[in-house]
Amino acid sequence: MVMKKMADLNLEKSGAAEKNLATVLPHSLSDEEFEFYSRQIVLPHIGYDGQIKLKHARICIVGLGGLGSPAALQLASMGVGHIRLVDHDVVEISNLQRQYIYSAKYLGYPKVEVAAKRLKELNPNINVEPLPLSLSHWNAEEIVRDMDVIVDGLDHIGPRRVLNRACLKTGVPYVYGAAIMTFGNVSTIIPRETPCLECFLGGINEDVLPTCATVGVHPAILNIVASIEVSEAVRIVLGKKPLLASKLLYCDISEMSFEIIQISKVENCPVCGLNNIDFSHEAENIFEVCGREGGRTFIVTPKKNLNLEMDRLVNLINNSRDFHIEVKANLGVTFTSKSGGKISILKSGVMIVANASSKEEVHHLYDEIVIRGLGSSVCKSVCKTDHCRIPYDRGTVANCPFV
Amino acid sequence: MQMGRVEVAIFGNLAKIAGEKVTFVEVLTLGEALSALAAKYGEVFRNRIYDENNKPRRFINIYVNGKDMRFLNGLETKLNDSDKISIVPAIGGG
Repeated sequence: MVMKKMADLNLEKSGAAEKNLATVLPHSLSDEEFEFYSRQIVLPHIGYDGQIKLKHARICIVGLGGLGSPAALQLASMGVGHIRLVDHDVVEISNLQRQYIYSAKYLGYPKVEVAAKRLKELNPNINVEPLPLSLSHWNAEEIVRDMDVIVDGLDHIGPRRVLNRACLKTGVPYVYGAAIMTFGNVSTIIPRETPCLECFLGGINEDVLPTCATVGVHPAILNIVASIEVSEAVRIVLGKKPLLASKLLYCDISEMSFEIIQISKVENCPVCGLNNIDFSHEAENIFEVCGREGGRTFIVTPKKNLNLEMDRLVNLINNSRDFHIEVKANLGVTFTSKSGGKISILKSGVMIVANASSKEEVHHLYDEIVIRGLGSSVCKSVCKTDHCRIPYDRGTVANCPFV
Repeated sequence: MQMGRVEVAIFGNLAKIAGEKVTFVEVLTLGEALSALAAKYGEVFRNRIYDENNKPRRFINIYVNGKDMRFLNGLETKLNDSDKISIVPAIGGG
């Protein structure tokens, strides 16, 4: 069957897959692609037509940690034509136990940059779009809007609720996944058809939930959850009904149990129901996350992608006696401060500060480096007008309506 | 009003503490169902599902026939024969 399909294509084999791609019709596969995907093309529920659908699919993975990184590897190797990667973090040594997309030589590098490189090496036939962003109230809709499906690689409930609202607004299916210790959850949310995340997880208080850093996570449960997420995402791309719509999968590998809880759409849900509520007041520029290496860690999220000039940023840091650069990448820079803080600034303007003492300290740092340090370039990319509206001399980033 | 025989499914670490995953209670309301479970499974289970104010903890999802109790009548939600309660500890990581 495989040989017959290859003969039907009547395409000459060439060396590089990328070269061959250019000669391939939009609705067909090159010989290399056909061979690459042959073990799934023979599956009845994928087939040749399904592979074409995957080739034209656009999937966004939000969060490239324990769930997002194995999901990214699978979706890339399955031939999803366009993969958008969203993450605001850099590779840390404590990631490597479960996030196989990275390796020790990339410590301190932006995760999206390393992951994009790895995926392109794995499968040169696909497009990978790395976005070094922090998902927020301000950018979530833009991130998900033109996608066919969103795969959850996040590690906190807060950003998942933001993602859920954005998917509801834009009508993009959202495959929710979560894992901790030996437990895992998956549910597939089809806007306006199934319960949304708020319907079945909206009452959870993030502050009292254990995190992977405090109670641990088994790599196997992450791979299981990620694989089920991939299976659901692929079903959506293929036009098949997802199997976890209106269902919450609860699995526990300490007992090897896989159970399904029926969940119902709620009429008065504040997100998908009649009592629609504006959540914009929950948005924060600076928030604290679970400590990277024991200390307090903060993330600064600008309202818009600042698209910083990395050369200027690197020069600025290099010229300061207070900082020492550890990693200089295309999409971010990681450096240490004299006070022992570890700081990463991504091209988008996202800044992560580990071992900070307070939010005020982080505020001051962002003001010093990104706002005052890079000054006009930030203004220009944000305001797009000649009239600066940022009160540099009086306030800090908190006063800026754009950053 | 007649009490309903209600199925309760318990998940995750809570099931390990309870020593079983499924049980049945005869009660009028959701609050009574949780009290019956706390009485049956003991102090550790009670402390896991109730906070210091005797309210269900906010890392546990409680569904009645698949609907979050927050969108029903909370602990006052009336239960009928063959209703199903699911008690599910939330999973936040990834």
